Parts: sequence; C-alpha cells; structure tokens
Amino acid sequence: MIVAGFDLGTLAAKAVILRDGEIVSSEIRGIKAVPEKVAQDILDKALSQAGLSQEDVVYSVSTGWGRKRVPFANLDMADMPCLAKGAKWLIPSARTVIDVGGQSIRALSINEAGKVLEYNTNDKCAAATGRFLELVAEALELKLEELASLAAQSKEPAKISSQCCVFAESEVVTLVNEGINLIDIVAGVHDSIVRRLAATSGTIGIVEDVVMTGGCAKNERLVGSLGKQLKVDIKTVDVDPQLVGAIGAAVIAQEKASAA
Amino acid sequence: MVTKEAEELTQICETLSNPYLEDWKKEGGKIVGYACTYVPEEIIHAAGMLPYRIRGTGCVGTSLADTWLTRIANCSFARSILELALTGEYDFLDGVVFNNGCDHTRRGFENWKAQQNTPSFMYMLPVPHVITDDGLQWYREEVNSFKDAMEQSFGIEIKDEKLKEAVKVYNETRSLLKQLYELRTQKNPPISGAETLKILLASVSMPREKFNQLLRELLIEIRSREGISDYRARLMLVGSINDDPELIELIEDIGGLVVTDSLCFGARFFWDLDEETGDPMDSITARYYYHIPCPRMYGALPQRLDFLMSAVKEAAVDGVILQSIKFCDLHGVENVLEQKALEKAGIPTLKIEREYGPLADTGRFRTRVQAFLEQIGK
Amino acid sequence: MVRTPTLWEETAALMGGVAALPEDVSALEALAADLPPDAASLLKGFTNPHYVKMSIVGLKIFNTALTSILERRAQGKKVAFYCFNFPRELLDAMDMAPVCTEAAGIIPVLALGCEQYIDAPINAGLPDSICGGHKASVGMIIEEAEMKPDVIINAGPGSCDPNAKLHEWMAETWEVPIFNLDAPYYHDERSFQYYRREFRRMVEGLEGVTGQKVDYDRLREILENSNEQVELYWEIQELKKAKPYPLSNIYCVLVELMKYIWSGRPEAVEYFKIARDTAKDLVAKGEGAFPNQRARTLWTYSGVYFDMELFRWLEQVGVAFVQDCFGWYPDKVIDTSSIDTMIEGLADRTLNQPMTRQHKGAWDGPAGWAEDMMFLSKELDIDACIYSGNLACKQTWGCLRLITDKLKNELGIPTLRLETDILDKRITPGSVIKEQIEEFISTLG
Repeated sequence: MIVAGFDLGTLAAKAVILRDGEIVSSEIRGIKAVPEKVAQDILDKALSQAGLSQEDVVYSVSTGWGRKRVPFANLDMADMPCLAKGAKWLIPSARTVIDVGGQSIRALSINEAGKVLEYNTNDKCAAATGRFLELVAEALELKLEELASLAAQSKEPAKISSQCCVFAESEVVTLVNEGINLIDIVAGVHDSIVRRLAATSGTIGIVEDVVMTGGCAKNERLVGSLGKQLKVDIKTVDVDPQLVGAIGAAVIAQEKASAA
Repeated sequence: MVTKEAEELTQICETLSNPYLEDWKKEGGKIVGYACTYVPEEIIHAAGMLPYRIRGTGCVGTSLADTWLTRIANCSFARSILELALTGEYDFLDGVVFNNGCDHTRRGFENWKAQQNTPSFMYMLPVPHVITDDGLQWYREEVNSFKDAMEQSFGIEIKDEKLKEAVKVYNETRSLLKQLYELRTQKNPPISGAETLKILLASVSMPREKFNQLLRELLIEIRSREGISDYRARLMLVGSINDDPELIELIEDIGGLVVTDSLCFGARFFWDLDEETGDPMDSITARYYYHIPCPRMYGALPQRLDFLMSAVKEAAVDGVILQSIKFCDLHGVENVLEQKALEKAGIPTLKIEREYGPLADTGRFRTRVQAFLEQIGK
Repeated sequence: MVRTPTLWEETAALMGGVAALPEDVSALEALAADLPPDAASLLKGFTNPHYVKMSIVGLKIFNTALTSILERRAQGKKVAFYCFNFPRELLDAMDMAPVCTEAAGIIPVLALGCEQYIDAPINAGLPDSICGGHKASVGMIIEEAEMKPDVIINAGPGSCDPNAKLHEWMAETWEVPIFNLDAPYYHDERSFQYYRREFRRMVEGLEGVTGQKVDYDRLREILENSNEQVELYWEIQELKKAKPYPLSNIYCVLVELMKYIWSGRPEAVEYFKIARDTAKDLVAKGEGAFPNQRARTLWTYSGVYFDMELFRWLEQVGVAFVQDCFGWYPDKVIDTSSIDTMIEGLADRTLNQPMTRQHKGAWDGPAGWAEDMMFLSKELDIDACIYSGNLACKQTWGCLRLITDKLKNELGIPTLRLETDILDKRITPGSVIKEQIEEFISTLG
C-alpha cells in the first residue's frame, strides 16, 4: 500500500511517501510559489524518485499551515497530532517532542499511546526559531549551516538579553560594532535561543524520552545545550528532522487507508 | 580611620550570600527571607533569626521561572527571584515570608511554595489594601498570626523584651540611613546614589547590629569626604522596585547624580520609625502599616505625593526619573499620576519602562536618560 | 449643527434596531448582512436557531440598559462607575446611573469595533499592559468627555492590579470620589465580617457624596428579581450537565453582561427564564443546542469577545462553551427581610464575585481559582479547558501552570493556552484563534 503525507509549513514544504510502512522517498522545498503548486511539485518529485505515479497513492494526508491548500489530499490534519504521530513512529519511547521550525516552537507532551496530553507554542514572536537563526546568519554574513560549529568554539559566549527577534538582531549588530568576537556572538545567540526553548518546553513538564524535531534539530549545538539546560538527554531522529510532521501525516494516511 | 570592614560594606550586595551570613549559618543561626516592605523584620529579629530581604542579584536568565510566571505577562524582577529560588540559590533560607504585594509577587510566591524543595516555613502575610482603623486592626491580627506561626514552626517563643530590643536596633538603622539621605541633600553630596543603594542592600543582608556598627563608622568617613561636584543634574529615582546598583550607575555615569528616591529598596523602606514606648507589637504593626505607602495601598496617593514633593524639595532635585518594570501596572499607572503632579509643580520628568537585571536593555535606558539630561538643560 | 452621536448612543441605536426584529434567525442574519463587520459578527454570535428568542431578549437589554443610563444621566442623576465584580443592584436602588466600567467599553467594542478608543489611554501615557476591558472605556471618556463618572467604586483592590489601579487613575484624573473596598485574603467568617463593615462604610460614604439615598423598598424589589435570577442560574447549571449540551454558547456571555448591566431587572429575569425553558425542552427531547458535539469546554478565564461570531462558530465545529471563570457566580439568595440582611447579603455576594475570589491564593487558597476550576470540571464533566490568555491579566498568567498542571495531573484535562487581548482584535485575530482551537480540539481524540 502506498500513501503520502504532506507538511506545508510557513517556510518549507515537505512530502513523504510510504510503501507498506517504509519510507520510500521524500522531498523538501522552500515555499516561494503558491502552496497548491508547491504541493504538486514535491509530490511529483517524491513519486518520481520512488518510480511511482500519483494513481499509486491510495490515501494522502496534509498538515501544516498550508494544509487546506493541498487539493489532492484526502484529509487535512492539524499539526500537533501529526507531529506526535511522526515522532512516536520514529522513536516509540518519545514522551516529549520539541519541534523548532522556521517560525514556530512547539513542545508536546504525549502519553504511551501517543495521545497529546498538553502542548505549548512560542508566543507571538519568532525569536528562538529557525527564522531567527537565519536573520542572525544574514546579519553576520555567515551561512546558516556553519553557525553550530562556530558556536562550539566559543569559550565566552556573549550576553544577548533581548527577548525579541527585531531587537536581538540590532543587539547582534551592536556587539559586532563593539568588536566582540564573532564566535562569541554566535554562541551567545545560541544560548539565548536555548533559554527561550527551555522556557517554552519546560512549561509542559519535561518527561523522557525527549525528541527534538524540526529544522533546528539539525543544529547540534542547540540540541546539546537544550539538553543540558533541561537536564535530559535529547534524542534526534535518523531521518531529516524537518520531515517528522509529514511522516506523521503519512502514517495517519496509512492507518486511514487500512481502516477503510 | 575607617576600618576595612566598614569600607567593604558596599561589597556585601554583590552576591546573595556573604561572609557574615556564612558565619551566622555556621553558628547555627537561622535566616528568614522576606520580599516586601510590609513584612515586619523586627519579629524575625526578635525570634533570634536573621531577616534577609529577597533580591534578584546574580540572576543571569529566567528560563526556569518563565515556565511558571510568564515572560509575556509577568515582571522580570519577580521572575528573577523565582529563578534564583528554583535554581537553589536561596537554599540558605530557613523560611520565606511574602505579602500579597502585587500580582507578580503573590503569584511568584505561590509558584515557589508549590515546588518540592522549599524552606519548611513558607508564609503569606496578607496586608489590607486600604489605610483605615479597621485595616490596622486586621493587619495587627495578621502580624500576630505571623508571630504565632513563627513560634510554632520553629519551636520558639518571641518575647516582648526581644521585640523591644529589635525595635531599638531597627530604629537605629533607620536613623543612620536617614543621616545618609540627609548628606545627599547637600550641594556636593559626599555619596552617590549607587553607593547608597549598596549600603541599603547590605543592611538587609547581614546581622543588623553589625551593620549598624559598620555604618556608624562609615558615616564618619563619608562626612569627611569632599563631596561630588562634577555632576550635571540632581535626580530623584522613583517607581518599580530596584535592587540593582548598576541601574543607578548607568544614570550617574552620564552625570545624573541620584540624590533621593521613593523606592521600596530606598526611602520607603526605612523612612518611618517605630514608637519605642508602649506595646512593641502595636508599635511595629503601626509603623509598617502607616509607613510611606506602596502604590498597592489605595486611597493613599496624597501621602505618596506628599513624600515625593518633600523629597524633591529637600534634595533640590532638578528632575525625576519615573521608571517602571514592564508589566508593573502598580507603578506604571502610579507614575502617570506622579508625573502629572510633578509637572504641575514645574519639575521635569522622564517616564520610562524597563526590564530588570539580566533582561535589562541598558543601551536604550542610557539613551533616554542622556536625552532627559539635555532636555533639562544640564 | 447636528451633534455626532456618542459611541453609546450609536450602540444603543444599533441594539434598538435588533429589538424591533421578529424572533427568527433569518431576520438576525438579514440585519447582520447590512451592518459593518464588527456589528455583523456580534449578531452572528446570536444565531443559534433554538435560542433566537433568548438572543433577542438579551440584545434588547443592551439597548434598554444603555438608554436607561443615558436618560438618568440626562436627568442629573449621578453616574457611578463600578468594576464588574460589584453588584449593580445597590446603585440601581439609589437611582444612580450605574455604569460597569468594563461593560461601558466592551459593549461598544462588540458592536462597533472602535480601536481608536482602545488606543486613546495609551496615547494619554498609561502603560499598554493595562486591561483591554478598561482601555476602551477610558478611551471613550477621553474622547467623549460626557460619560465621565461622578463617583467610582473599587470593590476588590488586590485581586487584579491593573483593574484597581486604573480605577484609582480615573478618580484622580477626573477628580471624582472613589470608594475602595478592601477584600481580605481569606475566605472565612472573619473576612466576611470585615468586608461587610467595608461595604457599610461604602454605602454611607456613597450616600454622603452623591446625596442619593438607598431606597430600601426599591432595593428589596430589585433583590427579589435578582434572587429569582440566582435560582434560575442554579437551575440552568444543573441543565448544563445534560449531554448533548443543551445551551447555546452565547448563554454564558450574556449571563455575564446581564450581571454587569441589568441584574435585578425584570428583563434579566426573563432572559434567564427563556434560557431555562429552552434548555429544559431540549433536554426533555434528548437534543443538544447544536449537532455533532465533540467537546465540552471550560474556559478557565473568560471568552474572547472582540469577535462574537466565534461563539456560533464553536457550535458549528461541535464545541460547547459550558462555563467560564468569569461567568461562575456562586451566589446565594439574599434575605430581603431587613435592611441589614440585604446589605450583608450584597456584601457577601460581592466578596464572592469572579476575580475577587481569586484575590486569595489561586492555587491552594480556599475557593480560589484552582479549587473552582477543579470543581467546575468535575461538576460539568469537562473534556478540555481553554485559557483565553488576556495579556493584561498578570495574576492568572502568573499561576496558569499551577492550575493547568493540576487539571492535567488530577483530572486528565488538557488546557489550551491562547495569547490574546479579549477585546482588541489586533493582538491575535479571530481567524488565528479559530485555527488554534481547531488544532487543540484535534488533539483530544
């Protein structure tokens, strides 16, 4: 049985194809065009990778901010159940999921059966999200990918006090002008993000195992420091962590199709 | 010659604990933390314990506290003290007493109290929000219950004679601090606002008799100083709680000498004296109930304005900085009323919102004060 | 020259239009179609087909109450501002023009939007963290000076700093007398005794400064109506337990507004009677007030009011708004046999109002927030809680996790945290709130 899951986030669109419970292909793309078109493009790409065509897909589920704009999806689902489902499918012992994406932080507490018990999201500010890291990288003329390894070299992270994306960006620029070492600034930015993530996720009560997902889970420095801050060992998934929501959607698609 | 000990009095506040506190602990002494100017320290002192004013010193971030109080609605001072409590920095306390002072601190107390590892004595001493005869009676009963609870929880007896002694000790502190404030009204004040705050912080962080002795010594040295003359303006600082000398240094570094205040880590905390005759519980209660009122006391704006205006006059203030910590509505609104009264009297004002301690945006604060100094032509 | 109508006059006129409608949904919908978006959204909130009669009576009361205040004001009667945690019955019996500060702003916001009024107090220098419930009222007075109070009652300082402090600001700024009633931190006989003395002191003072005396015969009459309301309220609380849920979501909103603006008047009693009768009918038939019910929710703060259509939308997605904290009135019937019993009854009732009850320890205090929310969750068989996170509300945000954890750990009930201003749609738009609620409901399984 072939099913598909889509996750149309605010900055990236993801598709996952499952065949009999195995991931056979996936696709991630930045959202620049209309969501409907992006959804079709990533589906086509994922299908062609797996040597399949759209007729082979018996059921598909969409999730994410643009979930209602995937015309061919059989069902659209909210983010939290898909995230919970995907994390649990990848790491069955997961009880807490911390998802840090382009513009959102979501911390979920789930029980053994995978039911969402409580969740918390970032307040109305994109600080401590992927977009924030991108802004900092742009301001410092660095590549997003090199931030984590740069931060790891710092011995004295700079103090970033701003709690707001816009202010933090200007604070970073001020620090550069004051001649603070770039590495220490980058490390300071990471620390400030970790404090925010710890507060957002700590609110729901941390229960192990803790899994971090979303694009920011690729940043080892963030994962490591957050674990230290929360005093837990944070697990990451062995697929691209941005795909977890789409995987959850695909798993739900499989359940629906099997039940039908 | 001033002793080294007295000279070092201003360093006591740099950390939460200090050598005096450590010695006190080593000798088996108990320490009770309190968070507001409406907790009668004399009772803790009479119990043979050390009253310690809870503050946010040394807090570097609030990620644990923010899971209880929230960063989108709660005050950064309350969050900072909760953070220190949650991270074990206040483990040296044997007891904690709060008032229902404001929304942030009363909820902060509840969050602290709800944790697993708290001092065994966690006490809420509620204070009426109005100043009336009936309110005094109510507060008197509350202070009595507080004394009973102390006695019961620690298995001690708080004797009247000890209370009378405490009254004398605390009154002495108040008189000494008042002398310090009087010196600041001079044309060339011998002491800065930041240094004054540091001394005040020491008073609530160590055995009081020792503090009095050191401040007596230090006062002699301070009186002999030449005095500060290179300031641009004489300022008064009012508004939300501040236990951070750096905030004042920020103002003084650019030439705004802080010569007086009506803060609760300031004049409001020590200005009034206990009656030394009569029943000590009565005199303590009356002193705390009627002291320069916090904006949480309703119907008491005239008293607050009286104090504000007399302080402005006595210290020959050029301008008043009305600051409030973000989300502090008590001071946020009060500042609007005080600003109106000051402007009516022709006193220049700067009304500014800020964050506390580790969350402070110092650059913006400095710029605003700078502009204020220029605006008042100094 | 024609004077521009004030916001209140405009609102009263709008509600007057509703009052003339026949009792059917299509008439409400047709009127809504002709109105600007805010007013249209307001009316759409009232379109549950089973409850049109109740809705129209409720909307009519807006008009009646506003008009009555304007009339009394025109007759030279004193305008008394009171916070919503104070019983208007007393002021009504003093022949004042009683204005609930929060309702004074809320009602025009519901009807007409009016962001410029919300912004006016901030432009006047007040901190932007004060409550949206007051921003609109104060803004209205700043912009249209004629609604100024002659006297103010501050019934529970210490339960909510922004609230009490703003009342103090009004009194100082407009130089009107204010009565501060000290609400004790406990919930025991000593506290009630103390508060009764506070209340008497206030009544005396109020008579003194306004020259308007309490007409105790009139008070008895008003309280008898009010008692009938209380009995109906409890009867309806019982009916709420039925499954499917038999009341329209708009019922809870109107209960609060009734309390704030028209409690003790025959029209308010009528409102409760229609609600009771309609619910009783539906229960007897085994029907709910709306189909496909998925979740019974307790709103641990209040509802979100800037977009009233939300209440109807919730019904459309199967969510019952069973109770909110601000609509929880553990009122008792007041003994009207003597002046003393009436005054004491009113005092006791005041100390028991929402928010004042939370003055105490919200988490471990008797009759505090946690205890109330736990009780209501069990009593009304709640599936999920929604905290409408009014950003100005420091005291509830400050103990939210304690309450949320308790509901989760002891009853297995999850809470959705919204981050809003309940009256200012610019903070979190209604569309986003709907998305967040849908998301939450989808996790309930």
